[in-house]
Amino acid sequence: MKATVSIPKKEWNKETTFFSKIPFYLFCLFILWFVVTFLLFPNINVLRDIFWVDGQLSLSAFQRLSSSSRAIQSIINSFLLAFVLVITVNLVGTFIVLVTEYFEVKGSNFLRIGFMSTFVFSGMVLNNGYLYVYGQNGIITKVLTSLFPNLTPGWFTGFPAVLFVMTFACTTNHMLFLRNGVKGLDNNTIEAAKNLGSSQWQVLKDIVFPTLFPIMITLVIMSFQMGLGAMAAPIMVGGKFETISPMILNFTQRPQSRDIAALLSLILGAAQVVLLVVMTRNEKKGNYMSISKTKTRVTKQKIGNPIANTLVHAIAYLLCFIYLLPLVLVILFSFMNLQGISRSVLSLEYFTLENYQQILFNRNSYGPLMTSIGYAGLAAVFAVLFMILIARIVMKNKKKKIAEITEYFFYIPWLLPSLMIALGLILSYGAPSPLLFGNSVIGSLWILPLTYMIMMLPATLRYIKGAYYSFDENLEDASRILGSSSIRTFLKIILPALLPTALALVALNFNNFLADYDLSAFLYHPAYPTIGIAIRSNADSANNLNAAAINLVYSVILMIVGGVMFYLIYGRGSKVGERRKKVVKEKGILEKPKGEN
Amino acid sequence: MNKKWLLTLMSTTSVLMLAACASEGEADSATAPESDSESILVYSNSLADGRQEWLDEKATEAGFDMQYVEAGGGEIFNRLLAESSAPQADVTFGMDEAMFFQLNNEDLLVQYEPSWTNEIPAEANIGDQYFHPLVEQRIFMMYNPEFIEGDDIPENWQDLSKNEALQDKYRIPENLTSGTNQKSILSILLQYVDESGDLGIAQEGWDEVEAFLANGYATPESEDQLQNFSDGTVPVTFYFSGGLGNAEEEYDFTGVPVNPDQGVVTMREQIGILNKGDDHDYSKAEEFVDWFGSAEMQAAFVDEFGGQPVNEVAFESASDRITEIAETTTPMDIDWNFVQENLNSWMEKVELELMP
Repeated sequence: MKATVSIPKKEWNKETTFFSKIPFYLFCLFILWFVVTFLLFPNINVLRDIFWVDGQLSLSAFQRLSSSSRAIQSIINSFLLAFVLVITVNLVGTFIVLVTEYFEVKGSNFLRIGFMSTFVFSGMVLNNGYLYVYGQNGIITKVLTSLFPNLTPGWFTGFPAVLFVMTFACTTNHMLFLRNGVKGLDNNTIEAAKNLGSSQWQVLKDIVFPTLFPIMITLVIMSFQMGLGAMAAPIMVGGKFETISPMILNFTQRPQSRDIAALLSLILGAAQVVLLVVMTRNEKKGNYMSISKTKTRVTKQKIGNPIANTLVHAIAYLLCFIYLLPLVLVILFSFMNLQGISRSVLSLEYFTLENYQQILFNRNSYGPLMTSIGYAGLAAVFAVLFMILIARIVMKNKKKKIAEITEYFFYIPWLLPSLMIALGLILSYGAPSPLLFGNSVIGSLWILPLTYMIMMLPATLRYIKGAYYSFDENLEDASRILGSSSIRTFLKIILPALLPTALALVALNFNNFLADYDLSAFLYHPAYPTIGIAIRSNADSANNLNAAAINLVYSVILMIVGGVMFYLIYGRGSKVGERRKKVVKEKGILEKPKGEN
Repeated sequence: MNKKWLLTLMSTTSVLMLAACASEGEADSATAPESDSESILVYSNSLADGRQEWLDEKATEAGFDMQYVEAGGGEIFNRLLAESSAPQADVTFGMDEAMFFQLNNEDLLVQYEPSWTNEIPAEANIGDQYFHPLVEQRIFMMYNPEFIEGDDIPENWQDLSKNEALQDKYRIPENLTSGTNQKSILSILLQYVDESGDLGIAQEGWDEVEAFLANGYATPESEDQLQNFSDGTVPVTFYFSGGLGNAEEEYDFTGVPVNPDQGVVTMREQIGILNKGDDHDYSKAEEFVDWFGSAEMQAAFVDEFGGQPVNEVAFESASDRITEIAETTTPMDIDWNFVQENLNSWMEKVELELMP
């Protein structure tokens, strides 16, 4: 049973008149303006600024870089990490999604919470948490050293440590997008296969995975990128295992070394785009719609083999333990004073509420938090809406070269570090510019959320495209045949179908930029500092010895904010969305036969 | 029921919109500092940990209408450079001489002679009235006498890598992003200035830096360097004068600063007025510089936040510990103009070629 069937599409476009396409042309004009103004011009400018020294092209960066064994080793390390991570993250990610959504595993609600914790628990603070478990004074380290006295307390370092942390830290995307995919599987097809005598493994191999293929492609691309761009884990637990991203950030901040930063970033970006192109070519060959016309929700599969069943349960709970322990320790340590934190010792003796009081009773903390919520939220919503439209145009015109090229423009932000993109905007629009209708970006309020949005575009587009592949185009045709305008079709049929992915992306994007510091420091409006600025102000290690404690408290508070947002946007939103989607599906089914006559 | 998801989406969006609009609405009334000549926009890396609140209170009392952009020194510096086509800030303070020299090279500062210029020691006044020193910091090597004694006490930075007993027992910078970390490298390099050498430094100097980095201990993020220093794990480190008193109290140790023959790197946080064109009215900014740099304000500032005022009239107000450090160390004679020309290349070379 193959799940790939392509259905010839009818040419509706011919019937539409020129006038009804005016909004479409206007939108195309808007895309053109956006691409030129925000993606091409500033970035070309910044690259010219960096590589053109005294009127001529300066390529000394190549030579400086190639004479640095440290930099070359870092590049090798980044690629090594990316390749290995693609395998480990996808194994763990697929496993945790299957045990929470596909197989019948006891306590899956609890497991799900554990596996979803990485959504709010990420970056530096996650690594901090892992160090509380596996670091020098970590809980597991203490157990291990009592079992194996020869073990050095600093055993958790280098490539294995980075790989371990990132394997679990980077499954967020699986829990969001693969989970949506699994939930969208069609039960009838699975049942039919089982009735025809397929084993559980065959069902997985021939039905489940092929349907999920576009999402898996996206996840491979994204986990590869996370490996290449690894930042927090190499800094925190890498030790001598250095990767390229911390170096890029470092060199970007020093004007004279920006050419090296740009070069390194372009190397990583190029690898990313090559992978993307290869994967997209593969993706285009198939149509991944499930064959069934009447989708029903997947019922959870019981694992027949008792040994396999026990094993799956055991691994699932072990993984959940690995996920949750660091988080619990971070929360506990946020109640410790400086002595406790700097010695990594949990004890009632060090218990304090002072750090929380200091932040929660400080009225100045709340303004920046609201600003950040506003900025990150707006950027996230607009990025997702915009990319839904772009993905739609790209998917409708799959065969047209221009659509393909347009798509690639939106991956440009992957090529340069965020700081350089910000720099490009300032360089290009420091003075009022006709491209911005006479506005300038310096000192404006909207430059920061705009830059957030630009940075969100590539990943957003990639995920939405993945979601489009699993959308049944017949529904759209049906709606059009019944006389709905294309806007109405889009709002009533397509948007609801994409909603779980779209909401997940809003939540994910929001969370990624909530605590941003690097871009904020560069672009924030004096009247509206963001929470990243406020955190640095209150927890600057050069000025404040208590910085580590304050940082932990802020991390916990941000996790709570992220968690609430996640629940509101994704949790509630997609639940309601799912109900809505079902209704649409039923309507679609009723309506379609009429259309096909 | 099928409207519910829309409702959720709408309500979340509207909350976000509200948050943003609240921001924008208020901004309209407070926006565009340049159109309002009364308001002073300060860019500074020296506003953390209550400094901004403190300054704001005092400035408001004195009749100034203030706005701030605060971030790390590198970020403030980059932001000022990037905004050079339309400078936003009126005044900037807190960065060191090297950065101010670079700002001035980019023509970002205007000359002004503050009322307190004659209270500044002549050798500290190196900015040709484009910028002026406020607070002095000394960055020095120090050891913990509980764990280091006798022959093991280093007399200069180069001694560290040569002493077997100190292998991995002295701290080296884990990165060169912070000013203090950069100064540990400068402390070695500047002893080997040689015009014919690579980037103005003799090969011997580069070798010494390489040996220094190869034999020391880079503190991982999971550890706390002051804790390591206090408990003897890494009993030699480097630190800055303004922060030592608090660190000693919090971590319960007494560090002994090492004063090599050439002296210790001494940097001075500067203040300057941004160049916003010839027809710009600088009177408010000048008034602020006069006020903030005055002996009275500087004395109050260091009294609250530590540090050594450069202003001779305010000199007395430094804490006992800082005065002690000032007495036991001698400032190194540094050509900051030479340093600012080469600093970035030096740091890049160390990061690319010498770091282990």
